[in-house]
Parts: sequence; structure tokens; C-alpha cells
Amino acid sequence: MEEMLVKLVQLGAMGLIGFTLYSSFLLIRENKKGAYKFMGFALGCSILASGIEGFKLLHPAGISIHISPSKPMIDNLPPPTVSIGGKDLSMGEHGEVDIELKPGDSIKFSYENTLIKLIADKDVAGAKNSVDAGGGRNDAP
Amino acid sequence: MMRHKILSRFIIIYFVSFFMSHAAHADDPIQPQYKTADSQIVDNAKALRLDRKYDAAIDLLKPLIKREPEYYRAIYQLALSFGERAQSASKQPNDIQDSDTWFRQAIAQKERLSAAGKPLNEYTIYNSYGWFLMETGRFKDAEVTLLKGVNELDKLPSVQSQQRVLNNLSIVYKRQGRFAEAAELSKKALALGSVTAQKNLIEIQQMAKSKSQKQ
Repeated sequence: MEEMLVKLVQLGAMGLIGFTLYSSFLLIRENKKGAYKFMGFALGCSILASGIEGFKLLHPAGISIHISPSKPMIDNLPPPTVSIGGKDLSMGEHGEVDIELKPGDSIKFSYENTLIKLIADKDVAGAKNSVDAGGGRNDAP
Repeated sequence: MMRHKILSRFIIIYFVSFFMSHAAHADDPIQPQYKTADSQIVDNAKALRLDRKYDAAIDLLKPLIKREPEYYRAIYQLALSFGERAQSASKQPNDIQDSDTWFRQAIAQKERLSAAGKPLNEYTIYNSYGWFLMETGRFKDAEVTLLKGVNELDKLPSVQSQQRVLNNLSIVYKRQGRFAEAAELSKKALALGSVTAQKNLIEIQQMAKSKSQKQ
């Protein structure tokens, strides 16, 4: 919705500049007083707008995002690791992270730690019922 | 003659039963300053705990510890009773916290005596407490405690106790993605004949391989 509004405003501005230029041509043709000033103003506006767009192209804006799980993480499960361009970012205890993105950046989420934790939990459950791992209830004197 | 024979048999039975009862209820095996009666209370509490009668075990041990606050074996059994009750249907809200407190007190008592040049010949507590920490999800604390057990491996009472502490620490390392250290411990446990170590080792090697392929 926001994107569409921006596009509409941009189209409106371009239309206005076009209309002003066309009007100034008509005024010049009719030798009206101040027609050149009017045209100069219209040209100035269009040059300014092109300048802004050109600057945006040369200096693209970074994007800042905050990621936070919508649901609480499962108890004691480590959050996934996040890396941007191969560089690891540290996530908060509950999987939240602030990310600064530049054009061309790619984000990678890895759930390896979570998987390791799940496997280890399975091991703990298995060890509990085995004779050669776990607590050893009889060991204590 | 007959009377003399009966009397001699009575005397023999009396002495045998006296010595047997004395042997069965000796002073504490770890801290001999605690005499038969107190040692007997701890033995009874242990039997109750193994029979999953945790409330009765705790009720026996608490007054004893109040009277003898430095009795290591009693403190250790109390810590286990709270810890095991926490896993049972009769668990109480503070069981995990109580177990942790008593475990730490028992270890502190052991280390205090060791520093004073009177070490207790008992090293299973590091595995017991390490396992308790693992079960409660405190893997980093478990690592520190289990390492102390692994450092005293030769002093553990049985091969199975040795296998346990090695396998448990291996799981802790595996949980942290430290596969090389985990594999090393599993290999040691495997050398002692552990079946669990064999299973763990295969899994650790697969996980390590998968990790190296990704990198």
C-alpha cells in the first residue's frame, strides 16, 4: 500500500512537471510576459527531481530490519544463527537480531545449533535409561 | 555333656551373630568419625531412595544433617533424594533448587576437607551432580562438574561409573558442537566396553562430517 502511494506521488510529480513545461511552451508561443521565468522554474524543478533520483541511484539506502520470533522459542532451544555475506551475527537469547542490509546482501539462517540441541536432548533421554551413561542411582555410597 | 554342647553352640552363635551384625553396621565407610547409628540412618535413607520412597528418605536425612551438618554421605544422599523426587510424580516445587543447594554443599564439604589434607575417597558425586545439571539443561555447568569426575577417573568405584562420566561429558560436548572432544571421550568409553559410546561415536562422526562439508 505504502509502495503504491509513493509510486502515485512520483507519477503525479512527473505529470505536474510535464504539464508545467507544456504550459510554458504555450505561453512562450503566445509571447506572454514571464513565460521564460515560468519555463525556467519548470526546468529547475525537473532537474532537481532528476538530481535526487540520480543521487539515490548512486547512493542506495541501506535497509534496517529487526527480526524477532513471533512465537516464543521452545524452552532452552538455541536460536538459529544468522549470517550476512558470510559474517555471523549474534542473536539474542530469544532469537532476536537487528540487521543492516545493503543492496546485494544475502541473509542466511542456520538451524544447526537447534538441531544439535535436539539430538543431545535425545541422547540425554537415552542415557537416562542406560547402564553406562546417565546418573547411576546406585553409585552414591 | 548334652548341656555343655548346647551351651557351647549358644556361645558360638552369639559371637558369630555379634561379629556379623558389627560388620553389617560398621562406622561410616568414608568418614569413620560418624558411628554405626548415623551410618545406619544413611544406609536406610539410601535404600528408601532406591525404592523411590523419597519423602521417607528426606525425612530421615534432614534431622541427621541438622545434628551433623558436615556429614558428607548424608548430604549427598539428600541431594539425590530431592533430585530424583523432582523427576517423579511426587515432585515438589522447590525440589530442583533444593537438590542443587545440597549437591553444592556436599561438593564444597568434600573440597574443604581435601584442601585441609583430609580428602574423602569418594568421586561419584561429580557424575551425579553433572548428570543432574544436564537433566536440568545447564550444560555449561555440567561440563565443569563432569570434567572434575573425568580427572578422577581411576578413583571411581566401577568400570560402569567410569563409562558414565565419559559418556555424559561426551554428550555435553556434542550439545555444544565440540565434536572432536566429544569423539575423544566416546572413544575412551568405548575402550572400556560402553555400548552407548559406540552409538554416540557413530552419530558424532556423522555430525562432524556434515559440519565440515558445509564449511
